[in-house]
Amino acid sequence: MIDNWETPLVTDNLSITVGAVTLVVLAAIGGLIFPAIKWLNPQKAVQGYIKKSVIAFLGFLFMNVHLILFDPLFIARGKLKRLLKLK
Amino acid sequence: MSENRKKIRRIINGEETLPVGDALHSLVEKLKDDLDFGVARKLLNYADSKFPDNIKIIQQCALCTYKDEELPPHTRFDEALTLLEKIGLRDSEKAVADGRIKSSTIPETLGLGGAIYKRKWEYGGLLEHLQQALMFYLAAWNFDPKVDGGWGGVNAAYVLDLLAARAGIVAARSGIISTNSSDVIELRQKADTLRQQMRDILVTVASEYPEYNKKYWYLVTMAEIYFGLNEHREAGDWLTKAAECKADDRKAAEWKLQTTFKQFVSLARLQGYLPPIEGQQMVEWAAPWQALHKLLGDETETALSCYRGKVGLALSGGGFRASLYHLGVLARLAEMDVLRSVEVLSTVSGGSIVGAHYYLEIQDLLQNTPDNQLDRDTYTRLIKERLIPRFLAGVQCNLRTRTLANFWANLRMIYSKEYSRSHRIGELYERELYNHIGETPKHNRSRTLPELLVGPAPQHDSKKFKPKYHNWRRRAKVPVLLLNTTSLNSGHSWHFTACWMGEPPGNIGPEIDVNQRYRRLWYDQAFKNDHKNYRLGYAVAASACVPGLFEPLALDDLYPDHTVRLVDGGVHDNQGVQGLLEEGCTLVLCSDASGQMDDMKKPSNGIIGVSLRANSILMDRVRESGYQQLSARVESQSLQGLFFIHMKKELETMPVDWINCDDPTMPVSNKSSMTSYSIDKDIQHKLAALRTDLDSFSDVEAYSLMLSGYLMTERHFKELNVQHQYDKQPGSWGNFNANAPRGEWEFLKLESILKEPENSQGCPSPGFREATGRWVCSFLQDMASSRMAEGYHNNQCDLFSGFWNMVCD
Repeated sequence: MIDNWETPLVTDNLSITVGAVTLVVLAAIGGLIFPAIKWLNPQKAVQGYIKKSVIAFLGFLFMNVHLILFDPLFIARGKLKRLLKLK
Repeated sequence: MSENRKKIRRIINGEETLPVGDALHSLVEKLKDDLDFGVARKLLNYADSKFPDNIKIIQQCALCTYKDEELPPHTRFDEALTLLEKIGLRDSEKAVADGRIKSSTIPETLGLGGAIYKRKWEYGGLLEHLQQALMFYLAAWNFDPKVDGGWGGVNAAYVLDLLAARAGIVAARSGIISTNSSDVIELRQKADTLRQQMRDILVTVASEYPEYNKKYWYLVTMAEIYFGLNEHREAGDWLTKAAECKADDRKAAEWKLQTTFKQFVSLARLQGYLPPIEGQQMVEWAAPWQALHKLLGDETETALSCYRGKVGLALSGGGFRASLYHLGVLARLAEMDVLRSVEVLSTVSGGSIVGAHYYLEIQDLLQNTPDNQLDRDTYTRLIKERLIPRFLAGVQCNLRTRTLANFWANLRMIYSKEYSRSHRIGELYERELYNHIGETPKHNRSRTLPELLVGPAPQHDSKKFKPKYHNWRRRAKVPVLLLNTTSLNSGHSWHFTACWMGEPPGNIGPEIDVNQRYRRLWYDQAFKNDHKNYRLGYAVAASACVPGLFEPLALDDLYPDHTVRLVDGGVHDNQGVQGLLEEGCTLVLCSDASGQMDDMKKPSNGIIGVSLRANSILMDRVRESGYQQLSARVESQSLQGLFFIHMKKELETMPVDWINCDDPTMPVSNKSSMTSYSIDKDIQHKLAALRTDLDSFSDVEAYSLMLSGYLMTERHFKELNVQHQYDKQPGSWGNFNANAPRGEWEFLKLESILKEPENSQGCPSPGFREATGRWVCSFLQDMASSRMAEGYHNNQCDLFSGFWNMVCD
């Protein structure tokens, strides 16, 4: 450092590249966002997704059970022909 | 946007010079011929601000204001009257004496006043308005018959005939005096004297001004005078001349011709003539119709269907219970040949689901079959072979349960803010019901609202055919479909039609309702493509979007900074009759299968129970008010007739006596357990208590509901006919055949069962109970109890409990 004490910090061959600017911007954004990560709870978010998917699946399951098993029985039971025969 | 509209916009913005004199009036005439009264009004308002003392501009402005259907009725009538008051409507003689107004302008001002009051009577049904119309028309004629030219005079005579007809009905109903009461005779004599006076004066006027003999308005006025005097041969001669000189502009002639024709038919009806029977030779027709044949030629027979007025059919809400009940009503209406005459179909909730289905079937029929090949049997077959089986198959898919039966759709409903259960069930309506209609069913492709426009065969041009202007020449009318929903933003009724969506102005009275109106959007002017091509399924879903069960259907980016949210049309008007009145229907048919509030021996004390009950009471009150309004219109004759049936017809109850009452209500000794429409009262009570849900309905439930609707319609038409005869009116009610033979319907097989009185267990019959299925009790009871908490329709809880009584012994 002492050897280079007299060397100027900014030399004529310094170039500002797109890559360098991108890195600086990303670093700045990262510096702002990373501290906020502690407020995020990935576990909770994932749990939310899983819960909602389970609800969607249960809805799908119960409704299909109803449609495949109970509905046809209900419809068959309420056929007009059947009523007229019972009478 | 038409060239004329663009031109007016430029003039009002100051980018183009305002035409004056004849050029201005010629432009206004063009707009009137296009029935663009709103744009003409804006132009004339602008012209009035530039030339405030020009009486002709003010008169034309008043005319375009009261005819502008974009303004609420009260507003447009009051504004038009205010304009006319500036030019001597109420103080004509003083205004002339002061030199403020030229006397030659007074008859037209007074005549316009009469026309506005007549329109007020048509909208509100107040007899006082009809009497005021008479005063103004008479004043117009009496002020200066030559200047009036007979316009005020013939209308005054017509109003006198209307009043005479009403007096005749009142006299007949009283039963004390005959129809030839002094009031009737006096009013008719006044009308005849006036016509005779006009005949003499106008002939003289024409001899002074020979050019009158080539003017359409003069010729039809003379024809109407003779027609009113029962001199139909002479009337026919004048109509021949009128037909020869119909305006060169075909479009202009069309609406003038329609107005003339309808007025003549109405006069003949008041004179007691019945229209010819379908297919009858012209030479055998009564004299008035032969006279009208001179004006319209071969199309007279079909056009005479306007005899019964403009027929509107309202299908109420009430889930699939209502839909199925309406199917029975439609079946009987088809048999009596009523459906061919329906011009407006206003539907709510469950009524919208079946109404849209029926409309699509009719669209398919009308687009593929010419008018002269459509008859009563075609409509009956359509209901029997297409509508009922297809709709029932769709219902038995259990659409409500299917809403959650697709995993990916469930995920979408959970994660997307723009996709709700309402959208999902809308897509199911399309898939299970509407996509099957037509020669080439449109599987996997949704129909949009603009696609609902009908292009009747053989022309098939849906863009050119406008039911309002072209229906009158057809026997099989092209109906206008109104899907009713309720806007959560304004609390107003929101309609979806084939041309527009939004809040019609007719619903809003500015005196007591100051909420914003969301103006109607014509699809071709929509900003977003989604709105331009709005899906039929979504519109029906919005109409049947029961609050609490389904999320409100949202419309974004339609109005600046507003998100419109729509719920079930039943919140605003569960019968759908308001839409019919706004469309100017004069013969209203209403099938009301909505859930009516039941008595409760011990109403709930809880927060939710009390809120639900309060909601039920409010809805019941709205329903009763709607009915009272309709009845008042029938009494004042602004409606030609009202057919109104509901699921608790004749299920009357007894008053409740207090404990130890020393004056107990005497039971009616001859009280029948059977309704007049031949269904056991207890069974009908239980049918009225069936669930108002969108799940599966078994054949027995569905056919019982259809049968109830069918029998009630059949019976009520006969009752209306009896009243019609009692009122000493010619022919039958609405000129329909109430005794039309029954067809073979699947649901008629239940007729004998529904007549059987219930057994001691509170069930219709062992067979009925068995077929409905006891085993489903526990499962469905769980479903019902979970839904009771979120039940919306006024007595959903009661409906479920009623259902359980039926299925569980």
